[in-house]
Amino acid sequence: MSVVNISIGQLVTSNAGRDQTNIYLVVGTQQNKFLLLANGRERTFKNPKQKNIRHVNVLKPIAQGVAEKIQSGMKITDEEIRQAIKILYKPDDL
Amino acid sequence: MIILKSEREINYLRDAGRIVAETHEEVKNAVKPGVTTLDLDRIAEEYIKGRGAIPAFKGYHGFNGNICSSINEEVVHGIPGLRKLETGDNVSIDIGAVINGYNGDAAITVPVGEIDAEVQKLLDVTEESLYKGIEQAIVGNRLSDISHAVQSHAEEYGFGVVRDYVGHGIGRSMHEDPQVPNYGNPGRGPRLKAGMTLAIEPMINLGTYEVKTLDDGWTVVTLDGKRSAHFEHSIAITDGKPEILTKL
Repeated sequence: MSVVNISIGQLVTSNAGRDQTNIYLVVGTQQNKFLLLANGRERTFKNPKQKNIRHVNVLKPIAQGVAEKIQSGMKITDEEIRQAIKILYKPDDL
Repeated sequence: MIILKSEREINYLRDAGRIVAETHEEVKNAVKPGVTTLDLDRIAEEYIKGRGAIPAFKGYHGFNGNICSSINEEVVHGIPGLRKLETGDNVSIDIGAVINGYNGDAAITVPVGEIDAEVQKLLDVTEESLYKGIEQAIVGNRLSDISHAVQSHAEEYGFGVVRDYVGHGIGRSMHEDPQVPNYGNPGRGPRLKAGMTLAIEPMINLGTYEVKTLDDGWTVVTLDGKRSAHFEHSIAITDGKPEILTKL
């Protein structure tokens, strides 16, 4: 059974739970089952939201800059996450 | 985090893989016109349980089936149901089993009766691309060497390589790190080491590579409605040649 192709830095929206319709960037994955999500506001890079893969809609854009920094172990700021979401998120992607 | 397996763990994975391979034989022999995918599901369930294993897909994130059966334009994750197979269809059967806590996962696409030459070519190329990928699964290569081998073989024939779904590591859970895409440039990603166990699964479309998910939340179909094929093996990377765990 194949898995959904989700990269670090990918833009997702929540489709279940109290945070429905919120927009996040993927900052990590756990065992291909949960995603760690941050939006740089109430969910920060240090305190990401853990969310089931099936409870998000995966959008096409990927924040390459953020992804590279995370993968090389560098720190990223919440400001960078907010900026990336602001640039990448276009409502018609839904 | 990629979990490297010891020889003892690989033995458990071999057991699981063998059961999956045997179940495939049983199900493959039952494929004929007029059979529903639910019938195939029952055959697989009985065989897996008869061997003392557990069907891995049942209840996985709420999946309602023991196998995934995807007909024609369905790419993967089709839910077994009352749809009857017809001559000329191609049906992808994806089976997973757990024994002693370790998973086996494999898929084949089977023609139902006589099929178009074009579709047969798609099936052949998809299977070949899987083996091209497995050939690259040797110590010292990088992960995307597998991906690149699969993509270049399939695209040589003008087929579309599905991007939205990918292969995975396999072990105590069915889906472990790393993700194994079927496309990409060579020489990227983590280096392959002995003890890694991967499920490589090319999903190849006759037309565009784009896919969408149906309202049931599972069934993935091609965007242009053209046929799709899917082959998968679980493999273990060893110091020599890669070992295919889900082959008899």
